[in-house]
Amino acid sequence: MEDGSFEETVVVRYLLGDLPEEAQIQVEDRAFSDPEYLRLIEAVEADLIDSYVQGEIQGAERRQFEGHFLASPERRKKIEFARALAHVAGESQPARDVAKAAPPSVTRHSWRETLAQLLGGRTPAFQFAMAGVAVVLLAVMSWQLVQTGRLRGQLSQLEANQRLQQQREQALQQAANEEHARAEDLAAQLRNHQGGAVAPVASLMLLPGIPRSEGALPQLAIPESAQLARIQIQLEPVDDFPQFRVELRTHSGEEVLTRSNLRAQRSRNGRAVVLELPASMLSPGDYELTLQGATSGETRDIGFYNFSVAAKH
Amino acid sequence: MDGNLKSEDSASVPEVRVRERRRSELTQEALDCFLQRLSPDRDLAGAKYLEVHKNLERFFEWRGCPSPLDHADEAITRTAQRIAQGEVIADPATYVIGVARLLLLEIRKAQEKDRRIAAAQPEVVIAPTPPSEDPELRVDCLRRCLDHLPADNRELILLYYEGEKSAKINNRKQLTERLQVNVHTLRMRALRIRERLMVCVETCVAKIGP
Repeated sequence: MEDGSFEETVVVRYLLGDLPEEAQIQVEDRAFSDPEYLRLIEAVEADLIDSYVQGEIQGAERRQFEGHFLASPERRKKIEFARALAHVAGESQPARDVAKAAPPSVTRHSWRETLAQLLGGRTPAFQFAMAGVAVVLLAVMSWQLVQTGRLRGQLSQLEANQRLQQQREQALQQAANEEHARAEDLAAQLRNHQGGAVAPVASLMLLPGIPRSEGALPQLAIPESAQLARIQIQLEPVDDFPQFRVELRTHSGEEVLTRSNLRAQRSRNGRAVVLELPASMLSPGDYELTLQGATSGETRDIGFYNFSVAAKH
Repeated sequence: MDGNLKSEDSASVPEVRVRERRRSELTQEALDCFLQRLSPDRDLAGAKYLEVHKNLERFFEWRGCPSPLDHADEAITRTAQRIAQGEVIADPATYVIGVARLLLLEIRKAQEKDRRIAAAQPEVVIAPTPPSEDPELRVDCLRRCLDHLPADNRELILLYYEGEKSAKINNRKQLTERLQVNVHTLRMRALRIRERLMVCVETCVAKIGP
């Protein structure tokens, strides 16, 4: 477990059935009234299952885990899923590190001695050993050739994907610029209509698939007189859900608002979910928005968006 | 508790005696009363019902019970019946957890009884649990589900769970820096993707499994 805080330790003990009944009831009552705490329990449970799968839980704790976690088929599925996830995540590591990887050497720890012994005597054993070395060298060289070919293939694929992604980003960015220009135009028209008053709605458009790690965050500039903030989250065609749910949090994870039962609306660029909220709820700073699709009682994450809010004077 | 126990000659063909615990039946009228108590708005009541059921499943799972889904149904049925019989229950969502705790005592008692019966019989064979699906199938399904994730989510989840101990910690640190989020936000984001993946994998396994 990474976080050794007291709270997490209590949750671990709870999940292993190691707390007195009264303390168990306290944990449950808090979980069912505090969504943050409920998520903490679920996160700790996932970590605990991963630790078990990776053999990090030993001894009495392992027996406790097995007694408690293997009881229901639902939990056994969670364990099997964790095994599969560890397996697949483990596969992806060599692909990422392949450039750094060196071919394994079975005699690395004693090669000097072995070589000295072989060179010391020109016997049939020496000749046989040299032939063996040649075979190994040939195998290593073939392996490297195959690896190089494979890496070239992967690199071409990655470059093609990157080109596609860039084209897509450019198209989306252009759409965002058009939308922004349109909003500015409307605001200007409104200003003229109202005799110079500032538009009362601050708006922001969030696009899917744009990497949030590069460049500045999209910014929602809120004029002083704005009463309403409007955030338009553009959907991709695959995001075909009857309803949507939006969670808005500050950068530090504090919940600002959660809104369910939102429906997609037609926009100039396809479909979008529109979130409108009082501008006063958004103080300047960074925010994270989670968009989920809801269908027959289940919700699925669609995307996470980071943006910043600034006061416009 | 559903017990699959049999006393027999181990050489003979296993014959399993299934002892079903008596379960209450939820009538339409009782369900309607329960939903009405949750909210007069039918849509909202439906959403609340699912939330209550999910919490009950969690409760029975956390307590190491064998059939959380069935136990959750049973707790709701008992609460709904009481409402239908005219009992005044102000907050059914809280009340049902109390019912679940009483049910848990019954489950523990039944488990203890089964253990005593098993211990008293000279040759007790516990029916083998059905073999789980091929682990490779789950891995294949996971690969498929990962392919359907947005690229940034896929990279996040793989990097988050990649490596062991210090390598894992380093990966996560890199992720927080790259995504400009704190550790808590990253953890919750990974959890959400993990849950979404698990639903996808189970659907896939059920669809293409044996």
